[in-house]
Amino acid sequence: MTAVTVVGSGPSGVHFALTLLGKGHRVTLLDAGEGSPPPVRPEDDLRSLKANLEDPAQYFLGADFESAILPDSKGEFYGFPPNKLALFRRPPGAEVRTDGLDPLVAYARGGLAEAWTAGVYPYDDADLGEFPIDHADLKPYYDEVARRIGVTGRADDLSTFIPIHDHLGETLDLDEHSQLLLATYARRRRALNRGLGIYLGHSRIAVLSRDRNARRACTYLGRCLWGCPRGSLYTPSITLEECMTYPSFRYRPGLYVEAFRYDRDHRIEHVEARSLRDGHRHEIPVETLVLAAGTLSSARILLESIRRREGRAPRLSGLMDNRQILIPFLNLRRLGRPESSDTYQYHQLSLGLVGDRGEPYVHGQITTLKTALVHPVIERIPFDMPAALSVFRQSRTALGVINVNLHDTRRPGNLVELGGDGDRSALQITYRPPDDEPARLRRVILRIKKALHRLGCVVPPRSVHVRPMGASAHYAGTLPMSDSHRELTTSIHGRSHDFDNLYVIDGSTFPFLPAKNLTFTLMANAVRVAEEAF
Amino acid sequence: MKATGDPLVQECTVLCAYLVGRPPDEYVTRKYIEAHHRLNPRLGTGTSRDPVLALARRGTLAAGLVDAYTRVFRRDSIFRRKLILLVAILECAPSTAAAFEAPPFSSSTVRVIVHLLPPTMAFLTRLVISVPVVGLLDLVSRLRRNGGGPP
Repeated sequence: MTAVTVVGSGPSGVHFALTLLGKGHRVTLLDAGEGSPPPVRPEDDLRSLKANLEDPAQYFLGADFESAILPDSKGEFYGFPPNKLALFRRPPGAEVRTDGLDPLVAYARGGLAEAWTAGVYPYDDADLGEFPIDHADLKPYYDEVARRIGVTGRADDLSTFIPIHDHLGETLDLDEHSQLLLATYARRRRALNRGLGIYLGHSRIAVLSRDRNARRACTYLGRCLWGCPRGSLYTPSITLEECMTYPSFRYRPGLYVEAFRYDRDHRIEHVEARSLRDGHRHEIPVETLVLAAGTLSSARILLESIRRREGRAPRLSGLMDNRQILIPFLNLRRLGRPESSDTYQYHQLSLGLVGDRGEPYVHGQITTLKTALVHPVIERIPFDMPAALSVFRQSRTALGVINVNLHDTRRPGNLVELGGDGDRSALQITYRPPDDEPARLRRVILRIKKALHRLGCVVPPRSVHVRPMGASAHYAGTLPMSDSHRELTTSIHGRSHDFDNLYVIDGSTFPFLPAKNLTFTLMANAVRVAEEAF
Repeated sequence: MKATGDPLVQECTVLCAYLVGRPPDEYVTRKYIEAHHRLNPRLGTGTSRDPVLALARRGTLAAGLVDAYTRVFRRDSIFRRKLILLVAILECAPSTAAAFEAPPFSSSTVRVIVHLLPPTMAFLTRLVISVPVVGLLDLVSRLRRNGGGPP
């Protein structure tokens, strides 16, 4: 029985831990995060919440109105809900300096996936072309993760790009707008597939359509963004709870891991952590250390450890992130149509673009407007308020947005390193997009606009928003898995080539970042490492 | 809450009537004032002597002129930030949330156009009137700021 210390309770850490516990190992999980407060009024839908809460503006906009999107906000269409902003609160000592990429880093229990939109898309062989593993290596672990978390989806046109796996649950009821888009696509499939290389289908989402143990099926409360109160929408804290049922599991929350200490043979002996509750410093002995803190936090721990022993730290190159584009649209055939507010709030359809000019696949998630805070939408309608409110009332159920993700590659100039002086080190991030990115973005936007036109939709002028780098929070690539034994890389099982008893199991080890949301692959890869290397 | 001499209360009363056709209740006014404390300086101080804001506080007709003008020429102005903030509060507040969830007028394209025509024409009319009136005040306001005068 091995004693393993895992840092981080995000999707990689909890699925790795659960797998090891199932195999009889002892696991200690160190986590900077604390638990979230229980959901308020769990049976209320969004409309009832507004009526029943004592201070609804504080719940939806925040005590400091930080989730109100005012005209001077930087082009974003919606704000993070106040109850999730705590996810991103940086503890003292976690300073970051940025140049070209402004990161979201979660220090809360469950990590960034506590605020995700639950898209789960297995990588196919094309996505894994630069990985030293292929889809067949990951397939059994996609199946296992789908069994654990509950995934809805179905075989359709997108299955060409998104492989089918086991334990795929029945899809949720489609909202009327999504039904119309899918029906229109079915009629114009030939032109969209052959003419534009665009495919449409159901999203794969980690949401339950049937009750399952303590988690209950989605009942369409329309409050996904503020946190599903029924546990229908999967988050890593659900798996963490499962880990806690094992007597061989020890969970230590509120500990911020600063570094590890290693001997002259590069064998890790201790982890150095600071309590975020009382500032007390802990030295925790480790047999095997597993970094699952997320690409940027794992990089900080590794670099700080080397700096403390060697006096200076290397640079990690190859940082990647998905560029995201938000493309709003108006479906002319939905104008004036009523819509039930009892719907699933996030995306139910996805869009796949076959890469042109040798480019990889591009992925988009289609969210039709159902329940949401609407002031950012009203603000963008190019009329004064009385007219804008009338236009909005008439067009509300015709609106939607496609969140397009593009792939990224490892490039040597995109760095994570330590800056700062003496004991006050700060993570320094430098990122530059590829030179051909503007042309690539233009081509993708043009193809999607044409596809939307064929689906009966229009894109309002000057409404497309290219999100700044860092906004997707899909960071990867700084300690890539590799067949060759090079410094600052890992084996195909995430074992460090620099430290004998160190494993890295988060996005750091991805040598390429496909356009599909990486979270499902993070979980499957963590299970693979736990099954095959321990 | 009655409109008092407090310029923020007066502002909230006018803008709320302009947006949803009735004065704010105590909750909306309280949240509006609270937001100004929290979001200062993005929303100004509330006692600002800006002539554009002063005009907007005079009544719903004046607020409509300022709205039309700033929507086209000063989208990032403090007035628009205040207006959108109030929309955000109103869509959360129990007394006014339903106004933002009202069903469409009709699913007939012709009827939709007929319904949207009057508010669109009203907007264009307000815009035309606002250019000389609000535009002049805006110019004065900018000159004051550039000249180091009071905000």
